[in-house]
Amino acid sequence: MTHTVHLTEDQLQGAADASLDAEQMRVAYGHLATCESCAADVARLRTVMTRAREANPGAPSLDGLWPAIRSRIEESKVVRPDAFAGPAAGARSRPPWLAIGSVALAATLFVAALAQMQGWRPRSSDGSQPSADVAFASAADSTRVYEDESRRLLNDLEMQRAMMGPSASASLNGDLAIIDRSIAEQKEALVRDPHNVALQRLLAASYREKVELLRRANNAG
Amino acid sequence: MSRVNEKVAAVQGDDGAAARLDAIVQRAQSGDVDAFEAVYRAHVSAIHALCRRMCGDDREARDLVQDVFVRAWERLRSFRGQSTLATWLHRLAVNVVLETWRASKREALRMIDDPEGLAFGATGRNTNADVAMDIAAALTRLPRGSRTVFVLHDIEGYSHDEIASMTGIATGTSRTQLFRARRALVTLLRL
Repeated sequence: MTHTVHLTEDQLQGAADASLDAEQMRVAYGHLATCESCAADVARLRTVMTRAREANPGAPSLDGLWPAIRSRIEESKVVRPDAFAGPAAGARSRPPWLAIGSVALAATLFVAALAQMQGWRPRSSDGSQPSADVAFASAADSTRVYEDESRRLLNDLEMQRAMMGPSASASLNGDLAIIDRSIAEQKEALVRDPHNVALQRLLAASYREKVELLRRANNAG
Repeated sequence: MSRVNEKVAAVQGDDGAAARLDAIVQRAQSGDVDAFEAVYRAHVSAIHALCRRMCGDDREARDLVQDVFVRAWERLRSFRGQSTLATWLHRLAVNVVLETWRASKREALRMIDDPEGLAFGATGRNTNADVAMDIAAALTRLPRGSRTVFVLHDIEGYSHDEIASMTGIATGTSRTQLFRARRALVTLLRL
């Protein structure tokens, strides 16, 4: 049958996705039963919807994304220096394990700063320069070990945080932030001077401090 | 089978999978990154497909997938299990994509007004109308606003009210964008 009046766009689209109300649907289907033009139009719209639902964009391998995601997750566990906005440091009550950590931390930072200012290079006990390659590799290995260990301890610490008091947690965050800032500065220095054994050792020492602080925090929890 | 692969199998398998999935999600919620990797491997294809459909570009989709899973890790503790994890991740992914676009003023304006999208079907602005495309390629030809509404409504199953709420456009605009998108696809697919 040839119709001179056809369904409106709203009716066609609504018939295609069945979003019309019952009465509108009855009217639309009454028309579609006798109008080939509108029925074909609704069929085309339904084809689009069906193909879109069934289509799979076909992902190439996504394995390569995980290392980057994991890296960002690990980074997010490291407290950023500017993320620490607790009350005044002097007003906080600090648990003993944190006080010990702070002293050790201050010592490490002092040595680090001194070494960087003086361009310090390590010497062996007899005063001769050790093999730079061996010393550097050893320090780099230590750095990796401590880095892995600190990552594991940070994981464990997430479990402990819920049981930690707010002031202790804030103090820990503050100390971690200082160590992380120190680590970041030493890494930057290593980028500029990649074969500096002293810097590599300092980096390992900073990670060791971080590991010790995290161990104390975990044990305290 | 590696530890992660075993967890992936537990997520994807049918046999007692629900209980094991719960256990894996709980481990991920408590900070187990290996457990979260299993969740990632089980859902990454679907999330990538969603991002790819919404943005129409594989490189951008991959960046968005990273953002989605980093956000999922950060928010995983807020997942209470009222919806399935897949639904929760999909909703999170849609929000991440829209937020990313909102961060760019130009894209935000296109999301709201999208005059190109409204004009597309009416003008038949298909520069290659003689060649029928597959649906994935045709989707990439739609303006972002129209494509977004089409993907959210016709593929992901969101209502116009939900789309309006998520994108900040009016319900009527969502409906109009959808109609235009379907019409444009009919033309591009040469149906």
